[in-house]
Amino acid sequence: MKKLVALLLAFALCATMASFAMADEVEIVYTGEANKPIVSSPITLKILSATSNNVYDWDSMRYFREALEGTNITIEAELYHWSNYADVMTTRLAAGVDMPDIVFVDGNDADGAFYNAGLFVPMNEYAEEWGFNQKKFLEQYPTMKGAITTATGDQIFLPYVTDDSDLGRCLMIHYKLFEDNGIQIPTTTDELYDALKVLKELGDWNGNGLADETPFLFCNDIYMLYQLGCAWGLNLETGWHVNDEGIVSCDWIDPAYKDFVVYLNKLASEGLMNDDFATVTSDQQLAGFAADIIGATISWGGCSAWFSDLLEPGIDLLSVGGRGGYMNIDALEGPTGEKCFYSRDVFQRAFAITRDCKYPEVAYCLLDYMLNDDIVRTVWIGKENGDWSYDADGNMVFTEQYILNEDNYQWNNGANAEVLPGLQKTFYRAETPEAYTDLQKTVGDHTKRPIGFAFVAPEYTEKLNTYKADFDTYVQESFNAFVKGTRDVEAEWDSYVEYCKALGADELTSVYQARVDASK
Amino acid sequence: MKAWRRDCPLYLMALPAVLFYIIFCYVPMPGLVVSFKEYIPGSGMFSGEWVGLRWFDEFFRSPFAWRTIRNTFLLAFYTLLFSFPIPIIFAVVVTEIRNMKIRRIVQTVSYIPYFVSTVVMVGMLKSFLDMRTGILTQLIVALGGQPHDYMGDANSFRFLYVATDIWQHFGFNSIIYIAAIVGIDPTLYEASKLDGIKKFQEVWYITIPMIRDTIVILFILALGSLMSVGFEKVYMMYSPATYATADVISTYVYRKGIESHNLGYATAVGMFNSVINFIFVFIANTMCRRVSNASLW
Repeated sequence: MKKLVALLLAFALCATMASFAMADEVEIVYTGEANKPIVSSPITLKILSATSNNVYDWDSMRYFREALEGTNITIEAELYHWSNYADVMTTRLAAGVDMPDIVFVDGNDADGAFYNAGLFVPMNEYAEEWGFNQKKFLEQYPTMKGAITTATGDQIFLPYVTDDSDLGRCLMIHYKLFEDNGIQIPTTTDELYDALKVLKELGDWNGNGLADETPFLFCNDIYMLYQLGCAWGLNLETGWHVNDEGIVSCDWIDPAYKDFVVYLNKLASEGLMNDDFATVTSDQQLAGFAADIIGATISWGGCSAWFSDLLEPGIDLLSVGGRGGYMNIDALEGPTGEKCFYSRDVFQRAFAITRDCKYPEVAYCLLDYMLNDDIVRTVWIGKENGDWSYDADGNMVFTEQYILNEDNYQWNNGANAEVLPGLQKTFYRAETPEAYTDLQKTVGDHTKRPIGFAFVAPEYTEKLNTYKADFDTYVQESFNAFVKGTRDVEAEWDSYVEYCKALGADELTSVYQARVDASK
Repeated sequence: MKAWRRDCPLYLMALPAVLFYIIFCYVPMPGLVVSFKEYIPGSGMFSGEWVGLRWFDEFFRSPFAWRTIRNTFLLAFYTLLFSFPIPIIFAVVVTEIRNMKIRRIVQTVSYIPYFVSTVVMVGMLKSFLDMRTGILTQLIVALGGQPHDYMGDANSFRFLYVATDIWQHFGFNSIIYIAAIVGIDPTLYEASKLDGIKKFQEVWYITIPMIRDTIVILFILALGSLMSVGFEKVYMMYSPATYATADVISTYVYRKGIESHNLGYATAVGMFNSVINFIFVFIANTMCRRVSNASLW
């Protein structure tokens, strides 16, 4: 018995030493312009990330496998839904055990809690030697530098960038309702009000005998409703915006915000907009499209094809030049002449290498490789001569299977997964209806960027931790009450502003100012 | 030794439960020290600077602390007030059903909601109460009423929370009372019949007193979770429209503590919750011991 135990221990010791020996002997080789990392021995890297496309099976994501072909790197991916990912990530990193090699850091570790605890490996030396794609990326998106580098100069992230400056969230209208009833497509907020009034008067437009129609319907993805505030120059998604002189101000206490909620309250009280936007789920909204009870809404421009298909199954938006189903329209001009969209912060996701990674250099090279132009495209639409190819005129031609997208073909293969660094542009895939292309040209002219994320000094993160949660609770609660009319914004305005300041509006403004200054 | 051998099977049966409480309740207890520290993620629970009562102070100074405490207490109080007696009444009623087949059907149907997960239950609630297509809304409209956003109405939140809790738990919670009632000596009922007792008197003078100890014990245990309103259900039901009545300690701490990675703060508030619960249990146990023979210790 004792001999057996001794033999087993000896074997375990040898195996451990061998595994350490293997870890030391991995060599990185680069080939081609993409700077594809090939390692000398097969290794496995563990990733903890969240998906945006509701697909959690890494093995089904063919596009990513095609991108990683020949690298000798196997990925073991633990994927979660983005809505509960923060809980998983926070507890795993806080415990410090069983950490993955690469982790998507939800919240960008804005207060530095994880970085200061030494959980992330600084990437500076790797970027110096291997950061070919990162360098080109930063030239295109220079504000990224402040977002991926701490206040002390350590680069700890590589990004997933979303560039929806050509068509992010926009207003979309029920084209047939407008066309059949001679309703002018609105270009101003006043025209929108008039159009909604006409829709309301139509009554039971879907003919089902129920009064279930809503001219302007929103679900609990509140950022869509906030987007309407852009017509008043407000960016309520962030809550703060920066003017042309580089000065930051708080939109929640801006006088234009009062005008905006008065407008929304008017829409809600006249039944032109649903006042239960805080509780309507996205599934209920999708059911609403299918039941033809929604006259207009605001959502991602790229989703109009999906919503249109729910409304009119099988609709071919290309054949109608995009003028059908739910049609995207340009930003509305507000009462002050403001006409803009606010896109999202380009810095959407942060990816870090954890201290438990045995091959941090390889991990960095992999993350950098994902930023290569060809690879960015591959993880969206697969490699050439797969689901697409070039025709004789050099245009991209997609397979019928890809275009039909039955059973979520595109997403199942990895499109829109966002599980590793990369880039998302609005129409980074198949057909782009002509109408959208035209719209993209005009929208791009008056799309503004929000205040982006950037690491700031600890005194500012302290303010963020102290004030942000309570401030957000109060302004969100007040927004709901003002729009529903359970509180009168005109009567309470002064006390509302005063209370916002007591909750730290000015202190938080200084934090965003610091971020703007850090991004320069 | 003989007694140990004789009772060994009983100890073995109890062992998994004992291990469960040791591993998941007592072993993690030293982690409470995190509530007095500036916890450093990934460095173990004894890492970080000692900050004393800073997180407790920060919680009580927060503008929403007292609102969340009030909401937590009221939600739990109303749940206790309305959902505690209902399983008892249901158990009494069910045990009066003479037809065993019907009794079994009624009991089984009453248990089913317990196995519906909270996520599904809240999803059903949102679907039924949808202002446009919900079946409850359509029923209200058919009866001449107006559609109303019950899920987004702060005044409706407590009612919805308590009502769904009753619906989900009354059947399962009645099991222990049914077991206690069927254990009552039937000769007591026979003797009372000879005295000409009516049905209600039978319940009031025999059934309830005989299961009094069970009621008291379960009441003390229920009181011990008075301040522990479940996070999941409130989180799924609430929205900024209902923060005034729905924002409880656990949801507030989730936003403030977990989302901002301040685990020391989150632990401190959780500990405060547990201490209050213990005080309630202690008071209830003391009172019960004085007025009756039934108590936990």
